[in-house]
Amino acid sequence: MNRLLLNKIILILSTLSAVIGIGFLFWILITLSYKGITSLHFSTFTNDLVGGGIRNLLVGQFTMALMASAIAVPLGMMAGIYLREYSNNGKLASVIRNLSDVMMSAPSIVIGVFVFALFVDPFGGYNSWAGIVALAIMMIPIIISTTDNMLALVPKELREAGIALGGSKHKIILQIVIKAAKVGITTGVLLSFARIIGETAPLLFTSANNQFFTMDLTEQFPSLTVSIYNLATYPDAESRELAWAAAFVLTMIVLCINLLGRYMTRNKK
Amino acid sequence: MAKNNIIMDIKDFDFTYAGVDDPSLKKINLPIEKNKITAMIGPSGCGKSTLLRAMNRIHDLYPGNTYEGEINLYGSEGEKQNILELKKENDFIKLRQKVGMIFQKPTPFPMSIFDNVAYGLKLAGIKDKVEIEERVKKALKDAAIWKETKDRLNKSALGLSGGQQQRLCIARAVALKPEVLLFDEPTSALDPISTGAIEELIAELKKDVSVVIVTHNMQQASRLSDYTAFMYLGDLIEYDKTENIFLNPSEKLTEDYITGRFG
Amino acid sequence: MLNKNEQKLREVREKTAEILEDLMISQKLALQAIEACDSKSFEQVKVPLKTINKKVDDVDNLILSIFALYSPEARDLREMVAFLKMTSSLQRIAMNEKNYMKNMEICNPESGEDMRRVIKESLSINRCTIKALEYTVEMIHETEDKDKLKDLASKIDVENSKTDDIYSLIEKDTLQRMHKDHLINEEMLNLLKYIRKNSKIIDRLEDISSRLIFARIGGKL
Repeated sequence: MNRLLLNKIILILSTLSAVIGIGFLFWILITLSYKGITSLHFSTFTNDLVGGGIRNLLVGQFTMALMASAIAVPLGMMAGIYLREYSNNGKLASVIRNLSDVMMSAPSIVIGVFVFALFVDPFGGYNSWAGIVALAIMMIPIIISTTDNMLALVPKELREAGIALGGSKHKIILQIVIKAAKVGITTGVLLSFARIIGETAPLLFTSANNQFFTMDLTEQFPSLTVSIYNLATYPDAESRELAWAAAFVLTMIVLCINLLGRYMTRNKK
Repeated sequence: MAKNNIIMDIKDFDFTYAGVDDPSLKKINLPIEKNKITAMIGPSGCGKSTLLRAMNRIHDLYPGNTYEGEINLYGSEGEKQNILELKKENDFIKLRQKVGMIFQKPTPFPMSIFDNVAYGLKLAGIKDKVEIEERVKKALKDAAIWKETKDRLNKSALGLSGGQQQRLCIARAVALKPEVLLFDEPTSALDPISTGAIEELIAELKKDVSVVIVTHNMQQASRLSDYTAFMYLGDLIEYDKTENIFLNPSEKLTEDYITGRFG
Repeated sequence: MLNKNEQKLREVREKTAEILEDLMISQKLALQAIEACDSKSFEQVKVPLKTINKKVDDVDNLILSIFALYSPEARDLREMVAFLKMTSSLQRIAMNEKNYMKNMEICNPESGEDMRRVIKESLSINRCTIKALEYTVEMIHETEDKDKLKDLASKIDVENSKTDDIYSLIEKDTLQRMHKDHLINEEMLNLLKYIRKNSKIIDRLEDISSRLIFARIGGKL
């Protein structure tokens, strides 16, 4: 009798927790959607921040994220390939893996401050390059880790089969192993992109923000996330509304990228 | 010594894995007859796969292994080459084009069926499209898989069944026209019907290549092979014509294994 | 399952059929020789029998290697066991034939009219034996049609019964005459013995046919 009762209690408690968790999620989403959609106008997408819109912010955020990817993806992938294919699991490899894991959980604001000291102060002010570097620093460990793990999933027989046909190591890695891990690695890249596109702290004192539309990377650069941070604290209702709109748009972007990632890994037979 | 009926010759071969104290193979002496099927049998851990993998130097992918002795490969003019002396990557590549290997798990590359079979040819530097096409077609026919694949050469090889994938791996190896084919338990991951098809294929192949097959299935060894080597704990216990091993083995250890008295 | 396996099974059948055909040739030659009562051609009869022992050994070793290499099952297993037992029957038939020919040397143009008459009558047994040998060879080659196999087996059975009948008649007739004549003819009694031993051959053929039925159709050995 006792066991049955205990069973029921645990079942109820766990279901309740799940419901509460999901409930909060839905509450956030619903609030966000409601407040966001009602604040969206056509002009939100055609005007820059100076005109009450988010056009330059979207372009700016994407630009920096893409530039950061251009740096982080090759570096991260090559490091991941080195770790898995060349390093023979020696001491250096485990040091790199540990460091990479630590970096993944480093507070983003610390990264921001670090980049501020290196790339903002000596260069005389906020600039987009600094922001890009900060974002890249955040992306690299994630890509190293996913590349490393996805390559580990490729069975060693596949490599051996390529070698047994007379292939050299680098050819096998490029033409067979990476192809075999293609989906996993791409998903890793996509997910790390989704991660950094929603970051605020690394950009806060590196590229800061810009009301106007600009593509000049040596200046302060428009950022969606930093704008939300600023707009939310302004007293006027318009700013708050714009903050909601921006938050909603950002959430939708991140959601879509995540769904894309899932779609790409769906083809598991 | 006229050795025109022997294609490979293993002499006093010792092998020790990296980081291990005791050798996994001790003073192995084994001839591989040309155009015949040589089977290696023995309980798990006896070293048969280790020996097989030494024959195309695939152990060299993993550093730290040590070995002694000779493994000689005989060319068409009778010239002898100790493959244990090879050091340069190019030499390794040439060796593996002469001595191919098929693994236990079918390993199709993530590309089309055609590209899979053509891969080795491209690695060897063959560029002529017509030649590649012809050799791919012949290889698929020799591997008895042409009919099933001729209408989907451009589809992914991953869409084939397990038995078909293994035959594709055989086609891939055969396309290079090797002298020796090494099979590492090629049917242990397959169902009985695919196993039968592959055994028939291997029996056909011995017209053109010399075959060495590692198997834990004694009936497979007795059905297929001309010569059998029995190994136990790193030693070669007995090597003889298959009929003698299974009817009249000389060593008691061999007899105990064959009659199932130990595993 | 492999071609090699099939080939070897076929070889066993063919070699066994060959032995039976040798025995058949020998029987036919014997029939001719005894009809002519010509003791010179008796030597000819033994010729096909000289190689039988070696041929039987070949078949035995072939079967042994099939067991060792191919682990036959079900039908193949029954067939190989059946043939393994057949070879000893075949060896004994060869022995029977040799001894019969040796003993039949009493048949020559000088022997008595009675002897020659009885011998002539006993030749029907030889003819039945030859028929049975033919049927046996057919059975070996017939691997598929079960009805045909049963048919052939019963034909062999029929020939066997015929030889029993023929022998009983000869025996009764001979013993009656002896009783009438109050004469016990040693020679004649020996002749009966030889004839009886000769009809053992067809008994063995019936054994062989029942083993073939076991191999091809099933049941117990």
